Amino acid sequence: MKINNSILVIGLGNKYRKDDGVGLYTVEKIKAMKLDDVKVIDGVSDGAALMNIWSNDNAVFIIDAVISSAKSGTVYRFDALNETIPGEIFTGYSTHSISLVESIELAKSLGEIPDSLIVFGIEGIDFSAGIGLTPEVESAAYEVIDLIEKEINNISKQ
Amino acid sequence: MLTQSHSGKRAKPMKSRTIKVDYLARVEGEGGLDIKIKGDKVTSAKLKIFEPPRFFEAFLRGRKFTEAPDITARICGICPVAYQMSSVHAMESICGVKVDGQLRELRRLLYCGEWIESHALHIYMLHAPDFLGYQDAILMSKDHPDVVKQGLKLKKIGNDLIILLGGREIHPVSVKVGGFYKVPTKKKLSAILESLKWARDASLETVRWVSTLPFPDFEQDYEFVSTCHPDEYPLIGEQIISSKGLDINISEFLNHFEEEHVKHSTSLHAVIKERGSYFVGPMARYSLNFDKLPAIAQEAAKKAGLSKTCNNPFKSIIVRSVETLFACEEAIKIIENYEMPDKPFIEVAPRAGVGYGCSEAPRGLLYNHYKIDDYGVIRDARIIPPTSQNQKTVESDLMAFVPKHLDLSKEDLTWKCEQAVRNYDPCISCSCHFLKLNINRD
Repeated sequence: MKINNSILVIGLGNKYRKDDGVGLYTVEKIKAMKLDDVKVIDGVSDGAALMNIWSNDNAVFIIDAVISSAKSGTVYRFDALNETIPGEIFTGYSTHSISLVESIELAKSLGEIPDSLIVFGIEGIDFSAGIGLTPEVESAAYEVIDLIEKEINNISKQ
Repeated sequence: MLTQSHSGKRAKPMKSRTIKVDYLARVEGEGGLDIKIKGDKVTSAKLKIFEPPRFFEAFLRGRKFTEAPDITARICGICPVAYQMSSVHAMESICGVKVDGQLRELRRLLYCGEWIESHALHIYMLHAPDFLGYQDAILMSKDHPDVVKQGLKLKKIGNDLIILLGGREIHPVSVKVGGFYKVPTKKKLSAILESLKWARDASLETVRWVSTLPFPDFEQDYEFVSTCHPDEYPLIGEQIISSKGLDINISEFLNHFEEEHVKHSTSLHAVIKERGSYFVGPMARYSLNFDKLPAIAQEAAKKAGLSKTCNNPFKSIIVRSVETLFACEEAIKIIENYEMPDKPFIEVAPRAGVGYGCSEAPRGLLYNHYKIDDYGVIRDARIIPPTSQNQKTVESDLMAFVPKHLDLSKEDLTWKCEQAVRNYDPCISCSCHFLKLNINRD
């Protein structure tokens, strides 16, 4: 499997629900880094649209908040091609459409999945109305930024 | 206790059975089912809606009349355009403004986008798996990848049309009282024509495909209710008709319809005062307005085996496909005839009064009613969404359907009951509204 330099980073969430905005916060920082050949999308409101969004990309990273009862700021990394993502921990961004995990499973079933799809989940604790991340979640965002940067560097070297 | 079975051939113990679905799958929002059976009779069928009330009517009070389309759009991620359309028409009627010509056509075009995306989602992802025996669309896609791909592409074209006119696919931001904040050029609008022509062909194929699915033999004598228009298949209407003779202006809605609270639902049940339950949605629109469908849709419906009315709710999937075809055909026609208006909106000055707006959400008639003051501040709001109107009919379907299928295993019967609910494409999140919140504090 050859991975070229077409890399997409997608942040999900709602920045007006505090920690739910961690995916958007993370991609905002990645965007500011202006990495070569890396596209950034902040926010996708329809899970069914994900397949179209990544249709021309070979490596995709998705960052979203999760609720799993773990310590706030815990970082999860899922290799969507090789493991089943626990859908129940990802905070649904809509009850009205296809969820992130459903859309990934559908894409896998239809063979419309990128060569590499890594999903990062960051445990949130405060999902109340308002802007701003709790300190543990914000530092977890930087941890994820470092991890993604390393993975992008590895892809670029291939 | 022993009793004679309906066939009279042998005596069977009169068993009590309960069909319970804690969380309905493949519907929007949170609801369940509770059906009680004694012998060969259904003693109760409850569509349990336990999603918390949303209180949107209370949010609207005290806000400016111009904010209504953006606030009400938030009620639903699948049918925000319906809320925008019903609310702007109500506000315009209060202020004595009529939005016509190309601006009205653009509103209908936006609505076509919503019908395409919502219907495609329900036909392919939520309803078709029932007929083909799959728990969900993901499992269905393993055996029918091309069908699912076609459905997703069709849905995307509906979304693209909404983005083109509304700025984004969910909760569009361009609609305002009096028209739009911005309207597209003819060139920009024409760019989607090719996709819509593909969507029209795909919808035609969808009608044919869904007509081959297996349908239970089940018909009911419904009172269909929809808006109507002298020349158009209804999207936005000022008149409401029914299959049992109702023919009223939308301002008379509350004279004939009322909502009542039942214990098992956070959504109020709507009834026709004189006759009880009624039916809104694609089958109602189709059965009351067949002659207004374009020739291509009428022809496709006939080929699919439908007559001018449809009383089998399981066949709503065919009717929904016919409506998708209509929406594609209508969208193409509107774009081909489009001339960019000089101004994207008409100025609307507030004046005190009461007004009404009705439009056809993908799931059926959506009624809005507002009172505003001289400053344009909303003093009262009433929103009656389609799913709350269909609740009683869903329950009466279950009461009639279950006794005919008691020979099925519990698992199969439960599935069929869920399917009977999904026939209505219910949007539970939309339906959860309460008229009043009374808090008594000592």
